[in-house]
Amino acid sequence: MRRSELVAHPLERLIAIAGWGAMLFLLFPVVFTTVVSFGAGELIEFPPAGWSLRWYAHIGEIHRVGAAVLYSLLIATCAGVLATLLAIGVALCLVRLPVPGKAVIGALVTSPVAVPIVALGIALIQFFIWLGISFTWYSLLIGHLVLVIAYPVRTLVASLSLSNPALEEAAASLGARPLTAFFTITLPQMKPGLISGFLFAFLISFDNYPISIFLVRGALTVLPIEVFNYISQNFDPTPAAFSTIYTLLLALIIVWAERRWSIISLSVASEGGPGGKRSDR
Amino acid sequence: MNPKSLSAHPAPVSVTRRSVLRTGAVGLAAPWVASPAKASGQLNVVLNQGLLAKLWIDELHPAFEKATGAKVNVQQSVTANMLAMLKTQRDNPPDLMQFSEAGVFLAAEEGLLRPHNAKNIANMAMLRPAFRLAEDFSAGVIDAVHTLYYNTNAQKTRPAAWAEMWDAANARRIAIPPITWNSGVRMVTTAAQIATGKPMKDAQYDLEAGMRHLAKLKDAGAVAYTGAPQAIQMLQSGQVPLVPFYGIFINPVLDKGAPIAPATTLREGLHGEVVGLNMPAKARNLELAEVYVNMSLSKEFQSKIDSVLRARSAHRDVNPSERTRELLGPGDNILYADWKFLSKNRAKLTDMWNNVFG
Amino acid sequence: MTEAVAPLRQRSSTGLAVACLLGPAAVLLIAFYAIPFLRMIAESLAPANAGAGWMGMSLEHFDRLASSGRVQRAFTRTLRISGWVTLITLVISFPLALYLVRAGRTIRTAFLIALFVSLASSLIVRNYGWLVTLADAGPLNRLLIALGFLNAPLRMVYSEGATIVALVHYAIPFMTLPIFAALLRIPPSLSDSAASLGAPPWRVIRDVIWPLAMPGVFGGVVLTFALSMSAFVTPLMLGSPATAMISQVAAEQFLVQLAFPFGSAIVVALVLITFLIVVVFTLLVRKVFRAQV
Repeated sequence: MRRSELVAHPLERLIAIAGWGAMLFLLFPVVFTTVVSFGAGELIEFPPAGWSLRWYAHIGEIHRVGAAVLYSLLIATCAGVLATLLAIGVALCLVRLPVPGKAVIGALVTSPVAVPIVALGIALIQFFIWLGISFTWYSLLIGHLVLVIAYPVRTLVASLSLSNPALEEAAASLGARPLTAFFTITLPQMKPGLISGFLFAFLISFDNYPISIFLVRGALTVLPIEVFNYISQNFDPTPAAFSTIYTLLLALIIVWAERRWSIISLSVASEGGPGGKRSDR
Repeated sequence: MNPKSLSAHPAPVSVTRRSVLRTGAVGLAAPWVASPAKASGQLNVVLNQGLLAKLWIDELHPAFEKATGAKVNVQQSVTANMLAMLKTQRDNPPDLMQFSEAGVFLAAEEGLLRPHNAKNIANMAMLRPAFRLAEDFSAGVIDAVHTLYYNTNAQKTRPAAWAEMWDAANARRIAIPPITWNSGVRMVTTAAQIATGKPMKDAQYDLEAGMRHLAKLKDAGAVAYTGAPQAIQMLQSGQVPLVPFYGIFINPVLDKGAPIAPATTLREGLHGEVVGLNMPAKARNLELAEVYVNMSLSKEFQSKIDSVLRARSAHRDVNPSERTRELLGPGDNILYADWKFLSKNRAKLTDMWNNVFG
Repeated sequence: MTEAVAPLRQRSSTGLAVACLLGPAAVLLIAFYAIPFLRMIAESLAPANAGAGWMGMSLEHFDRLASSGRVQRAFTRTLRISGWVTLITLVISFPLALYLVRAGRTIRTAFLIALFVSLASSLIVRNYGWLVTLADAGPLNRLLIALGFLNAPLRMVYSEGATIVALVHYAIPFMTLPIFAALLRIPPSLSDSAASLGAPPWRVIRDVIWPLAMPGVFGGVVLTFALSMSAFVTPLMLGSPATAMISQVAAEQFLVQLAFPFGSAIVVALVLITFLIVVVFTLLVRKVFRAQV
């Protein structure tokens, strides 16, 4: 679409309004949480009657908040990285190789999203106890991995299937070894899928409550569990303050990564696709 | 970040099965786990979610850790989920679980609990008789009284009877607890009381009559809440002004000025429910657990049950203070249920309730 | 998904390649997903009385599924809610994706970051926020009354409606990103030629853009639908037992009733139903829209 010609058209206006409207709706809870976190009253109210920073000082009152944050970061980072790495293999198989039963494999890998997490949690804890690895941080990691692997697989399959296999063939015909071709041609084409897949996996693992609640005990705990515990016994806006802070931190990290490596623009665009370069429209 | 530093606090007991290399994964995992064969020095407890857990965490755990040098690892849950936890983790259970009499009989029958050894727990002798439950399978630590709470801005007069919930004037102003909570079951027995006119000790066996009467609340627009956050939001905002709720979940907030108050004298009686510390059958840290129970039953700690949670203490020498008596009422009309019968019939009752409200 | 595969390696070592590539993921999923799930299936087929049934298997739990009013209501309700969530999310996300394609680089990057940031904030806190926002005396009701749309507050919480709103909000990033990625693939020359042939913009969208965006739409729809079918935390915090979705009912069976076989049967049925719907939908999209999905 040539923006310059059509931007004044009513339909374009409508699309712009719809776009901004959707964005406002999307950001509303984040704004809400932030506003509420500055409330002066003892209870959560919107809009607040008075303003105060005290709930930010209160964050330390969340039981074991430090350990929860560390464990959550550890698990989420490992889950994100491992899920993405494993997903590379799966996506390559599904898209590039003549594997029988692709649809079934694809459906199986992405099915954990549809299974009630409660069931998965119960099944896994019994299994882990039987294996003797229950309540360790890596068993929790395994649970999260099973859950999040679906996302990088999807994004990588999308990336790969929209990229150009002819380039790899060309590389092969020029004498490049398969591994070289992979690292120089295929991997860069997969970048969008890699980045968005990792982000999805990380964020979903970081905020996961239902599967964690079954798999933790003792020293092991994660953020969503401690936040839920806090909400069940205190009625003040401390969780709002806490959520605001770590959301802000994550946002800053994403913005910085975008500045440095253009990850967000890349997570949807691609250099070698049939549409050509998009990121500079 | 070095994962090894975090595995210095591994989960205690589970990894001694290193010899069982059933999968390569376990073998690979072995170097990451640094815990000793005996899980000494750590105690895993599961406490009842909410302010109850908070009291133990704030007041008991520091003293316990100082006295024994052991570390307490705490998880929070509700009775219903704890039974499932007990069942799925029966071969590697937590060391102590805090849930009410509603679950004790069922758990004891299924062989999931072991009785306390009163000889090793000195303070058990100081308990009021009502708090030694199920032949010592449970050591009662607190009476979780359940009554009708109301928002003082939206409801000017204090309710005098549970039956008021059925008044036409209160349509769409009432909530009821879910059947998954023990208090949900008590609502049925109270409804039976009202419907049959019999006293609680007889009426509680007529669950059908109770259900029929409770079902009338559905037409009156009663909302069943799903958990504490919803109930709290209802009460605090006046969204639903009349909400049956546990005192221990909310009393400390009243002292901070929230516009919420309990109905302390209800004609049909308040709902008492003894919550105790229970030991899973295959728990390992017996000595530490017994110390924990003993400290929970001590006069020092039990007086905090009164002063912080504003609830009835299990210790015979701790009597309700003035503020507690304000919130608890005269205390002469707190009724307890026959949970042996009720837990046997719970599945059936749940289905009946779900057919109406679910 | 392209059918014209270009092998990365010679055909003779394709088997080895597949093993290496799929291997790790397969081990993970078989060991920690398939096996526990198979045990669950086995449990759902186990007769209540040992020794009864045919070859040690019995369909009595599934029978009970069919006759349990609560389970049936929960299934229909879950399907209905998932349908609405998917539809509404699509209606919101497609224009958003269209806008992102047209927007300048700064806005586009900012919006994309916002999509991920939305996922970063705590779901539990967000849901509690919805509970407060949609309350009778909450800001939304007050706004609607002030604007004159309502005379008295509308009870929105503890209902399906509140669950749908919160689930839609949660699903928007998952729907928007695949659609956006697909839209970027569409060469501008296509819409330009359509326009130069006299098609008004809405026809360009309907006849050119929409069919070509189908792979992205399909991906987003399937993901949103799956997420909604298995939703647990959101309906728990915003609904009531009368609006319980199937995950909650299954959870009750496991956790409260301690009826593991029945709970397993519910889970198995849910997965089968979801799988069936996705398969049917895939075939529909392939045949009717002739899209490559």
